[in-house]
Amino acid sequence: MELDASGSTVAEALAALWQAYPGLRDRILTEQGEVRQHVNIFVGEENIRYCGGFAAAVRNGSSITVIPAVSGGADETRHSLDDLFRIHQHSGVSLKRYSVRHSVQRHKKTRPLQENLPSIEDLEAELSETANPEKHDE
Amino acid sequence: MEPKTFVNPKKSAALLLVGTMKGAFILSSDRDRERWEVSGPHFPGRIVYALAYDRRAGRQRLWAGTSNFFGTLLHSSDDFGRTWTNPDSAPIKFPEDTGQSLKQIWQITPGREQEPNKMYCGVEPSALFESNDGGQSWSLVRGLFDHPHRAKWQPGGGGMCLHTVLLDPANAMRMHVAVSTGGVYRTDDGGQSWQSRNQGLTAEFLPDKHPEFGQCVHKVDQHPWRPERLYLQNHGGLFRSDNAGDSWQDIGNGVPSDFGFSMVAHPHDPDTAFVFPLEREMRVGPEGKVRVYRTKDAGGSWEPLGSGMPQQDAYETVLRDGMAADALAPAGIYFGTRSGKLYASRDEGVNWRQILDRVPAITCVKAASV
Repeated sequence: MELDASGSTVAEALAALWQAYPGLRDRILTEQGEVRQHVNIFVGEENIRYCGGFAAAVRNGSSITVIPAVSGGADETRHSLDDLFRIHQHSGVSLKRYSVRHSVQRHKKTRPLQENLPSIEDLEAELSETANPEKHDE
Repeated sequence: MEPKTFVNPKKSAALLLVGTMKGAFILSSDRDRERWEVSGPHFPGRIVYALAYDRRAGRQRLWAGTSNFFGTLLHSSDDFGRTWTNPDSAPIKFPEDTGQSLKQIWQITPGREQEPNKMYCGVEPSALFESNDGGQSWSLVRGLFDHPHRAKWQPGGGGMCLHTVLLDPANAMRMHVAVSTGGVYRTDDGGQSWQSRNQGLTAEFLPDKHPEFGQCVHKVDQHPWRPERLYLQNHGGLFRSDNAGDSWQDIGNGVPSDFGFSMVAHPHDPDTAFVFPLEREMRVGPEGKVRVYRTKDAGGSWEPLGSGMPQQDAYETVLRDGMAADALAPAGIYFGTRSGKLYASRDEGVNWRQILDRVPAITCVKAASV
């Protein structure tokens, strides 16, 4: 599934994503507009925390990847499989989900074409095994 | 007791809501509380610190506060967990000008019977949110958030949380909250203004052992029929107030440790309360025993209750919301452990049995009647 939009920064690419899937915004950003502590956003292989944040440039052909952080116990294999989604930049902004191909195929079987993207519940279910920072009450 | 995917409690059934570090479980029984049906895990993989049951105005609504990497959400269910809401937009948000972000929902408290659309949530970082439309929309209680003490509140080991919300059932203007660390605060004008209510409470970790505020209060409970009576488990010390928190007196008489997290007032007898003492070093039940302590004289003395539970080589921890009482007669008392065991007594703590095992670390236990 691809979503066309214009823009040259991470912020603009994400804005297109929020517009298409409003439920994702509060999962990825806090109410103060910051990337959640245990979520990372990469442009190519660069974490935007270290390359300009939301103002980081997005060039044609680059990918934006949102991944739950390794903190909490996700191993490298799960990590790579559990990419939440990727944003692929063409002339505009295109959103290409998803690194979990089997999941895409499964959803395609059960959803109308325009709803190939999984729901919030599906995304959370895919990620639930690793997306749990250990906290405690003591 | 075979786990079931869903429970289908009948009218007046006993209901137990159990939150864990990796999901929630719902247990249901008839009033006899002999056999329990189990449903779960709900929200698998998500941390569940807060659960509540709202039966006001004919509802049969469950509430759950859950969190994971992707934030903290408030969910509800009108069919005992067959389906849960999963809102696109997080229902509870700090306003932009506060600079704060919600980390955890620690307490969900339905309002009084006479205000069926009122709800409260105590959260981390320490703040109180309220809803006037049955939980659809929420707003920050500014009177508490803007309190000049707030800037000096410090996080405890579990984070800086507002973990207790107590509504005076007879006085719609009065409410208590408790903050770790910060202490007890009370409003007498419906939340517009708040006063610290910590006189007599100790803060052993501060140079001033009796400060106006800053105590690490772990849990407070009030007697429903006599709401001016409060019982409190402090970070060191057990206390009682008979004047709605205006002053506190030490009631740690005869417990093997005055450290612990939980505190439960008896639903009927204002002189009876239950705690689960923890020794300070490991924060487990002293002497390797699993024992609840009960007072029947308002804290004048405490008796150990361990019948049916391991009495050697047990290292169990009960967290601040890990113990609850139902409102039946005789009262049922319940607690869950960080090792994933749920114990129940249907005779006010005299005899116990384990009704759930091998679930993730239990963070909260709530008891209700359908």
